[in-house]
Amino acid sequence: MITFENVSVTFGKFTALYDVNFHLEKGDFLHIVGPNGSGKTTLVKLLVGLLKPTTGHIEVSPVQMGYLPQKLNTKVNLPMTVKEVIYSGMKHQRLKPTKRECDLIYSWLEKMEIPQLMNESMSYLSGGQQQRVFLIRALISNPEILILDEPTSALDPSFREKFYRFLYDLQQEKKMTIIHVTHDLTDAVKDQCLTMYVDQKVKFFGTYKAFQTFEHRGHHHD
Amino acid sequence: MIDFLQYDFIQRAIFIGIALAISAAMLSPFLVLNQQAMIADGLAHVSFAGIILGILLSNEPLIIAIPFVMIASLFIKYLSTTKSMNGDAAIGLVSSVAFAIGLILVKKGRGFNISIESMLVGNIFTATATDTLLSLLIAVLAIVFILIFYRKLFLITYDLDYAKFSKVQVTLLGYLLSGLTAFFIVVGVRTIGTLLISALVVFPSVISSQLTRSFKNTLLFGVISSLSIVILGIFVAHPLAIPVGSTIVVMYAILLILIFIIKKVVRP
Repeated sequence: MITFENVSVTFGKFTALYDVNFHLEKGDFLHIVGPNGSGKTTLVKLLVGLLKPTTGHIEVSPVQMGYLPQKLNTKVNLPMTVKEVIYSGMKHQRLKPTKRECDLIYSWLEKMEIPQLMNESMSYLSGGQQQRVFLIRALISNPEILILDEPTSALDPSFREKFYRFLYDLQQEKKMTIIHVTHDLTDAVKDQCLTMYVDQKVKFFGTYKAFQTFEHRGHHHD
Repeated sequence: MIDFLQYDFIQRAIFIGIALAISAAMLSPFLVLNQQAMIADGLAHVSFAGIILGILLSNEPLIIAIPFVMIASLFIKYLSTTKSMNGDAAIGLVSSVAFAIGLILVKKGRGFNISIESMLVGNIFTATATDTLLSLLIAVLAIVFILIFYRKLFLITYDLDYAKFSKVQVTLLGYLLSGLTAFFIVVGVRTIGTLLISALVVFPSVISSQLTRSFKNTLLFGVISSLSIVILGIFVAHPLAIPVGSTIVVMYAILLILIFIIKKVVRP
């Protein structure tokens, strides 16, 4: 479903990623970890097509993709409602959303426990509420591949747990391929998940169980 | 007061005013709310040079001025998107160079007999049939463009990266928006004036975003406020014999101040 072959990215003389190789099948759940500035977001931008590799080859199946960027709403004074933002994530959009589409948006807001915010202005929302809205935007078109760049940074701990349970359900029921970039693996990961440790190059790629041994030996401090 | 409506030049002024008000308000949110408000001002300066060049080279100056300003707008867009130059810097560069060329042409152009003042403040009551036709054309183009690409333009306005991820043709739509803005500015400069035309683009979104939470309503309220102010401006300016462009801008400013005061009183 996703293949990276000898992928490198350089910005001038700076190498952001070097010789990245990996392959993901349908239904895989990959957690990407690494220190600040290690190239995690560069990797995400390659996956979603916002960046082209300097060398190497990327192949991603041509299926519906959902994406939650790291930087969320930066234009704080822009007049736009929650409904308008979520609707912009739908595959086919009309000038005016239909009743069915509005009901779908509402049901997603209910799932994320914020139905009262449907017609609220984005600029009145807290960071955590905005993150949920952008997550719905990523999920509303039923993607087969979901890419999340630090999705829980603004979520409160109690909802974070629900959020991960929800992601695992999506992976199990819909065989969704999920790529999750995070700083904190503690409440995100299960033993059978794939884990990648990136620091300019891929230093580890395998199951979380194997990663724990790798981490224990302090290999990523090499 | 209504008697003056029987005159052709007044009817034409109202028609052009309505067309320009709609065009400006349709383009407004996608420029102003995307930090591109100054492009209208910059292109107005460019159109000063474009129209002077047109007067010198042709009997119908707009034939030269429209492509001249459209090319300048595409050049600004090119500089700001591909040459890692700040958008404001690109506008400042291109518009000041064009304005300087315009001033040199005025000084050195042989047989040049148009007053600079009339170009700076414009006059909607002396508009020609060509101005009327072009105003109608830009209004139709702006309405069709925004209605077709509304969702994509909204996405570009609030989240450029997500628009690129969603395979929206951001470069093409950006150039089309710039081109349409340039077209609007040249047509508007002759009637509203070089110095004031950008206000027609800036005010609708600034005013309507004070009144609503939604982007769609910002666009709609912008069209309503723009139409009301422009028509009122023509009705007030004519009997008082003051420039229409200036009247419209002052009325916009009064409306904005009133909204600020009302908002302060209602939500202290």
